[in-house]
Amino acid sequence: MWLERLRRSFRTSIWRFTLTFTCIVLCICIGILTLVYRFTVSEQTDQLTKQVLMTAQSLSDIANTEGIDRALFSKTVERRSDKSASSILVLQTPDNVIGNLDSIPSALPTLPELTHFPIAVVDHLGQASVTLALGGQQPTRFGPLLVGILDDNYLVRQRDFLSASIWALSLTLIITLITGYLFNRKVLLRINQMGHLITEVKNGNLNTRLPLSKHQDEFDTLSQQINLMLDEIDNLIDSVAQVTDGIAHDLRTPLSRMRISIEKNIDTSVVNSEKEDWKLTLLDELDGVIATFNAMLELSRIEKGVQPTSLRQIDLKQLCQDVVELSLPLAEQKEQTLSFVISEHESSEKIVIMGERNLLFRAIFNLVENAIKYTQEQGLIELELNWKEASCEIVVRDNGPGIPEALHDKIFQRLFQVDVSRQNQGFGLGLSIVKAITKIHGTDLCVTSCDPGLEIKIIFNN
Amino acid sequence: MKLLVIEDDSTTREYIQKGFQESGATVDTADNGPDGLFLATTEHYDIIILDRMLPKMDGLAVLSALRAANIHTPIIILSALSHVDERIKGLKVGGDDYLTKPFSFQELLVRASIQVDRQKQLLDPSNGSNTLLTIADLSMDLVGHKVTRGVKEIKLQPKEFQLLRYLLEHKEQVISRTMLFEAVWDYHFDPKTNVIDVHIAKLRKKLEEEGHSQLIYTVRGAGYVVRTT
Repeated sequence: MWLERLRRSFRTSIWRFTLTFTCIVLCICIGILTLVYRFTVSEQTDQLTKQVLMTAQSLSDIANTEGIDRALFSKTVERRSDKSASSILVLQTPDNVIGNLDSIPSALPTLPELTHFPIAVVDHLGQASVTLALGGQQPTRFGPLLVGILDDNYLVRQRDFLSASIWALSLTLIITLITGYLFNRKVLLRINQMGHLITEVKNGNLNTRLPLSKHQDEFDTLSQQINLMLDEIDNLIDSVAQVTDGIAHDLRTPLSRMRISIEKNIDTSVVNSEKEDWKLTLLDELDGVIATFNAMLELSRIEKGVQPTSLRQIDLKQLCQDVVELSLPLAEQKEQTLSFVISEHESSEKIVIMGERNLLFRAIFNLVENAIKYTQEQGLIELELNWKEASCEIVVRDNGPGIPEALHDKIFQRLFQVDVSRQNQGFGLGLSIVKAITKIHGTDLCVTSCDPGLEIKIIFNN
Repeated sequence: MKLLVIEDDSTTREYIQKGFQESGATVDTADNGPDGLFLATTEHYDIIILDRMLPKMDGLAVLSALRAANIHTPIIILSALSHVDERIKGLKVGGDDYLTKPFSFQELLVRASIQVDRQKQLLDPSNGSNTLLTIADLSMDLVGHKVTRGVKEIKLQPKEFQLLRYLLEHKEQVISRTMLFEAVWDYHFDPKTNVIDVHIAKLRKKLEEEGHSQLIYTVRGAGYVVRTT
């Protein structure tokens, strides 16, 4: 659960933005550290290099001076090498080696190129250790001369700088990521709040509004605009409802009068009179008009949603049993088998959900009745109630002719009939009413072909 | 029976008035809320037929004012608003029954007489607590849950039993399909199909087999009636 939440929060654009921002900050840090390195660690090496080059230059000048012979030059080198503890001077003549070291290490570059090379030193206690020196060889007419300087801090300096850099970069990375995650969460929370509201509105709960914070930030401005939009929609729906109520009132009253006058004029004592029969036919026709009219108004009404006060705890099992009991003779008339199945549930327990009893009964009955109507004689119709931990499903399945998949979305549209040639099969409002009822109950409606036949599922998410 | 009709539409009002007068009732009328409320509080009526939308004072306001004044006359609400919420609202405020316009006058008549009978029974419980319902050679024992025609017992399904019981309790009255559906299944909407007819046909077949005479008659455009001829 939390893993999924984490994964979802990493998929957001704010998270991507945080990552980009972190990368930029890291690049800037690396740039700054490089500069710092140049001005500290390598500056020190530069200083030492200069020192070595100057010493080499002066010794080379001495070697090139006329009147200086090998013995004199060797002496100068020896004296200089003794004078300074840090500088290293070695002159290798064909006869002997003069200076701080026993020999000149091989593969030393010729000055002005320098390199770090290891040397063994013995301290005043007689302890031997290996340290680094910086230097190169300078050819003189008396033989190659090594000019160098002890640089025993070089490695330590480099290591310290590196570890300080790693620490600094890691801290920057961690701090930016944590800050990013916190911002991300906060923003996501508000976006989720909006998403939740939209779902509520989609489910017909038009009274929901977004909360506003004290900060008056951009989210508050957006929330305010969404709230205003919802107010406007609510007003529009209200005025539509008022118009329909008005139409209902204005049309029903004359229809009512018409029905009453026909009814009053029927003389029930006269049997088999053509005139009376005509009046009865008229009454039937009028009832048909009234029924369609009622269904249309009812649909608009249901689409607006039900008052929360009308919602009660309903036993779905009882409701389904009632539907089966009511529809069974319809199926028997066509010699069909209508069965009711409850799965994954203790059959003695109630299956309770919150809903409007009459509307839910109507939705399930409409589905079963539709299945009976369109399935051939001796067909099978099954009403199934599946109780699962996270959801509850009501499935109406038949082995009739089914509906082409391309039309699955259309069957819930008003006045839509799959086969236009079918006469007297209802008004094409039954499934629209089912859709409206399931929508206000926040359930999903799902149609699948089951070859042969059709399966319609109402899914209640617990 | 004395009744009050509060309805603003003159044609509907006059038809209801005329219809009830023909069936032997005394009818007072009012065409707006305040007048209706005045009549209802000053006179005694057996039943009040109240329109939901009235000028000057809404039907529901009249209803709650009456109930607040401790007047418990049965009230049938007539309404152009058919939504289930409206129905619940009407019954919650204290209405006894709710009929959506346009309605069949026959149905209104039957619903009114049911309400009047119920009120009588409430006032005098000894009256009408009949456990044996009969018509012609058919008898229904409500305690023993048995139906016999002549000497032969007829086996009925629970819903068939309830259907027959409701028809017998209101014998010789035309009962609409909606009324049957509401009384037997206890759901409030118009199923708009022939499903009730199919149930009645099944019941009729069981009652009328072996050459027994017809008891349940269809009244076209209205509903069903149980009578001997």
